Amino acid sequence: MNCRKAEELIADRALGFIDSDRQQDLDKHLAQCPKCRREVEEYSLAVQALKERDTVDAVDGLADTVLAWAGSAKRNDFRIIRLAVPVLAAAAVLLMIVLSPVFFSNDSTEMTRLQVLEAYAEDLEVVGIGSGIADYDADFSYEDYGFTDSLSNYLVQ
Amino acid sequence: MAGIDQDSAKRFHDGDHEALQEVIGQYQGSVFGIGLKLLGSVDDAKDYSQDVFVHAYEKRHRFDPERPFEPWFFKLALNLGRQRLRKRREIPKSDGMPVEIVEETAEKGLMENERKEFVQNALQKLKPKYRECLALRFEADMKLHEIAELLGIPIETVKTRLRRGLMAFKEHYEKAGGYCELQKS
Repeated sequence: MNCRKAEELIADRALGFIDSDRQQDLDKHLAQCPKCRREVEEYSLAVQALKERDTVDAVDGLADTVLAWAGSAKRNDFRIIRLAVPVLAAAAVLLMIVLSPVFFSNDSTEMTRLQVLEAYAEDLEVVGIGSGIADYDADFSYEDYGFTDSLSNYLVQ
Repeated sequence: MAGIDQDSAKRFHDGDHEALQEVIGQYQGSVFGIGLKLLGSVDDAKDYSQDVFVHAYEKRHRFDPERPFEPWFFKLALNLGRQRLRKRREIPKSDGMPVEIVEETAEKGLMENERKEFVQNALQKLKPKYRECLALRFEADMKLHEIAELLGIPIETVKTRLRRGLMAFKEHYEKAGGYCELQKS
């Protein structure tokens, strides 16, 4: 094992994830390499430096600040809900008023037979069916067009 | 690290302030440490810490209370750290005096501050992906598989990043004279 490979194993050991086989290989190398033995010491110090924590003073007051914010955030949520309910209710009522003609209209798209005939009166005149619609109820009969009595009665109904 | 229990995590999810307080008490040290390692200055780390807890509380509904709290929490913390680094559009500056200097007349205190500065300077010279792994390992006390899961990378990649990160850190720390200070103190 060369020193470069040994250094990787030293780093792994300092980080705590060297397995026993590689540990044995490393130990053999360290037994004959004073330079790498110094590396072991230095890596240990490097990890120690990385692990050190001095945060107690630094985060003083953090909890108070965040909790105060959370309290005000909750109040704001309630305020929004309190305002939102009547506003939404008013909007719903307004929407119902605006749309009511659509939902409550009595307009029917069905036409009576007379209305249909009136709508096509001009065309009927062109094809020679009488001069007007006024006589329709009294005089009109499908029999004039060759239909049988029963069929004519059915069509007139 | 003994994290918060599942009951506290559920109460946190429901917006309970006492649970929030528990979360802060439990993780403020880790979060500050991650902030310091990622961002490199005490002021930024303080600001970041506050940001993490506020965000965690705001986004608590995204946390599934049936699952462990820490992966979700540290993922959020890490994302915020990355976001801050992106905003800077550069690796944090390593010059100046990133570590807060308190009024300290004793020689030991001065040396301590100087050594912290060496640590921060050396960390800021690392690639962010190495800093992240080192921060999660040493500040959040996360295991390799937890880091792998959180970052979405294989365990072997985590090991490589930690190894390379430590080797680079050691080199920069040595150049800065950190070992002399550590051995003196």
